Amino acid sequence: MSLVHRALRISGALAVLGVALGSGLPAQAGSPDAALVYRRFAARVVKIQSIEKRSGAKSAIGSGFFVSGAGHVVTNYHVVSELINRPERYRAELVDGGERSRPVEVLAIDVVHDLAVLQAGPAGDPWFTLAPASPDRGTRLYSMGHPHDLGLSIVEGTYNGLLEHTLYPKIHFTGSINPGMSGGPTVNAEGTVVGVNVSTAGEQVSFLVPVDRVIALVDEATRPGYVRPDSLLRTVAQQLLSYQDTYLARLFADSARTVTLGGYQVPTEPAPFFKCWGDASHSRTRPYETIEHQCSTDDYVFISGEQSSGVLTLQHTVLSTRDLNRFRFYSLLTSQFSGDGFAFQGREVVTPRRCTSGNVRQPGLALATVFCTRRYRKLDGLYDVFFKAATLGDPSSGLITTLTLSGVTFENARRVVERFLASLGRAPE
Amino acid sequence: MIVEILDRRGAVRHRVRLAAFPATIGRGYGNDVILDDRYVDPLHARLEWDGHGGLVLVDQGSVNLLRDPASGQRTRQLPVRSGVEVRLGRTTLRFMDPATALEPALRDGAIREGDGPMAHPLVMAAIILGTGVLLTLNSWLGKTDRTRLSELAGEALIALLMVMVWAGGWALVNRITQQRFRFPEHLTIPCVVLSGYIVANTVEEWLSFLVPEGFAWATLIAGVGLALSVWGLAAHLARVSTLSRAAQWLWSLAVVGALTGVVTLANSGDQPEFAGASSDSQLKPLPARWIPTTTPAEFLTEVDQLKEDVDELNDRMAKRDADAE
Repeated sequence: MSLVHRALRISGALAVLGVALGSGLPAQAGSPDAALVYRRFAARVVKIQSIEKRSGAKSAIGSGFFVSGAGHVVTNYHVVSELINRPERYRAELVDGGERSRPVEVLAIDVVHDLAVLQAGPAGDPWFTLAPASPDRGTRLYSMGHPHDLGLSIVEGTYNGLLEHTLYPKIHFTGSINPGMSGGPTVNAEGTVVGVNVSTAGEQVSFLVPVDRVIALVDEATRPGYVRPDSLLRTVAQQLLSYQDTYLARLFADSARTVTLGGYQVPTEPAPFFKCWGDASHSRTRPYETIEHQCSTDDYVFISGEQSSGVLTLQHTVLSTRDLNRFRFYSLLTSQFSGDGFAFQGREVVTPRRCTSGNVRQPGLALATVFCTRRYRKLDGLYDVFFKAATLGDPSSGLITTLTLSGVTFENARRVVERFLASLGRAPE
Repeated sequence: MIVEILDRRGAVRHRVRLAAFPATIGRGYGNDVILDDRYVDPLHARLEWDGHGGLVLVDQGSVNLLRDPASGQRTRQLPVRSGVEVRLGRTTLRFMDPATALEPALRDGAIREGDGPMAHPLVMAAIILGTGVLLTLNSWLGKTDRTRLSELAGEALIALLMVMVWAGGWALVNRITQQRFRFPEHLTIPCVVLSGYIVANTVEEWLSFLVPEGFAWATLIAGVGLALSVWGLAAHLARVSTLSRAAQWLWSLAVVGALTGVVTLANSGDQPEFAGASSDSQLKPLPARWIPTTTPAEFLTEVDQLKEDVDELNDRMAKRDADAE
C-alpha cells in the first residue's frame, strides 16, 4: 500500500502537472445532502498554490480551509513543503471561491501529522469552527477540495474509524480523495470538521488527519504571544527528533517477540505499529531454499518531494541447501548479503553513506556485521541507519538479517541495533 | 679481433674480422669496418697497438667522439679487450677475441637462450591449461544455480578464445617486427595475468573476510592487478620490439598508468565523498571457531566513529556549498 500511498501523496501536490490518476472526477455530488453541504460550506474552502518565484508559475496545488475570522487557514504540510524546504525559491497564495488570490505565509506546522496553519490577510471570509468530533462508524461524510485543479468539488463517503496499529492516528475514510484535495476539510452533514484530507491508497480507501490534531496545532498557532519560528526547517527537525524518541524508546527491548526461522531465533513485530509477513520458497530449478520474514512500519513522514522519513523495516532471510558445496553456498550468501537498504535520496538531502563491517561473536552465533549511516543535511541531528548481519560457520545454512531506520538520532539507532543484535540467536533444540 | 655491430637490443647484426692493425672504422668506403650511420665520421676511429701488446681505439677527430655505452661518457682513446663495447655515433660496437670460449650447441628443439623459462613448450601448455581450469573453477564456485560443468567449461573456452585473439594480434606484430610469430608465448602472457588476477582476487576476498576493517585490502589487490598488467604488457613488448628492458617497463607502466588514470577519473567524477563507502562484505565457509571476532560492544565502538565521519562529511559539504554561492 505504502508505495501507491506515497506516489499519490506526492503527485497530489503536483496535480497541476497533469498527472492523470484514476477515475471518479470530479465527484459524486448526487444526494440532496451533498448539494446542501456544498451550498452552505463551499465558501470556507480555498485552493492553496505554491508558486516558484522566478517563473511565477504554480509548482504545486492543494486545498485548505478557513478556521478563524482572522485569516487562519489549515492545510497539509506536504502542500506547502516546498516553501518550508526552500523559502528562497517559493511563495504561496490562496485562491478563494471568487477566484481572488492573496499571499499566505506558513505560521505553524506539524510535520508528523502532515498539517500546516497558514496566515492570510483577513477579508471577512466565513470559517469552520473547530470542535472535537467522534462520529459513529458508517456516518456519511463530505470531503471538499480541488481534485487535479479542476475546481472545488465535493465527495461523499463514510467514516470508518481510526486506523489500528499506526504510528500516528489516521481516519479511514471510504471515498475518493484525489490529488489536489490534500488539505481540504472532510465534514459531516452539519458542517463539523472531522478530519483533513491527506492521502489515499486508491479504490475509495482514503485517509484523514483527525480533527483533534488540527485543533492542537491551531490552538498553538493562535495562542497569544505565539511567534512564528525563524526557520520552519528547524521546527521540522525538532518535531522529527521528538517523534522518533517516543517510538524508538521500547523497540527490541527485553520483552521483544521472537520467531524461529530455520534454526535461528529472530525478533519480530517489535511494536504494534509494525506489519509483518513472510514466505518460504523452494524451487526445483534452484539448488537452495529460502524462508523470508519481514516487518515494516506502514507510516512514513513526508518531508519534501525528495525526502521522506520515519520508516523502519526489518527483514530476515534464512537460506539452506543440500546441493551446493560450502564454497558455492557462501558465494550465494555473499551475493544475498550485498547492497544496502537505503532509499535513494539526492546529495542535497543526505550525505553519502559511511559503513563499517566486522565479525562479531555472541552466545551460539558468529556473525558478519555491517553498519552504514548517512546524515540529513538540512535537518540537524537526524540520520538514516542500515544494519545487516549474516551468520557464519554453518556450511549449508545461514541467516541474513537487515534493519533499516530512517530519520533517527545516531544514539537511538545505535541503541536499537545493539538490542536487535542481542535478540538474534540459535533456536533452542 | 672480431668487431661486432650490435642493434639497439644488443643483438649482433654484423661481424667483421680484423687481422692487421692499425685498422680504421668509419662511414667512408675506404675503412676496414664500414658503418652506415650519419652520426659517424667518414674516418671516425683507428684501432692500433698500444705498444705494450694491447690494442687501443683512437678517435680521429670525429664530431661525436667515442662513447662508453654504459655511462655515456665521451673519450678520445679507449683500451680494447675482448668484450669491450663502444658507441660511435649511434652504432654500438663490441670487440671479441677470436679465442673466446663458447658453450656447446643446444640440442634441437630446446628453448632458445634469452627466451626465459616461460618459453618452454611444457611450461606454456601447463599455464594455458591451468588458466582454463582456474577460470572454470572460479566461475563454478561463484555460481549458485544448477549450472552444468560443461556450460562453465564453455564459458572458460570463450574467455580463452578472447585471449587468443589478443595473443594473435601481438603475434602478428611480432611477425612484422621480428620475423617470428611466437604465438604460444603471447598466449601464455595474458594467461599468467588472468590467473594472477583470479588468485589475487580470491586472496583479497579471504583477507577482507578475516580482517574486515584491518586494511584496505581491495587497494592492495588492485595494486597487484596493476603490477600484473604492467608485467604482461612489458613481456609482450620484450618479444615484439628491440626496446631495452627499462624502456619496455617504462612504456607499459605509462600505458597502464594512463588507462588507470582515465578509468579512475571517469568513475570518480566530482564526488570524492563516495569513495570508500562500500556496504558489501565477503562471507567465507570457515568453522566459526576459526574466525577472528570481536564482541558486539567492540563492534559498536567502531560504529561510533561513523557518526564523526558523516558529521565531518556534512560540514565539508556545507562549507563547499557555501563557497559555491
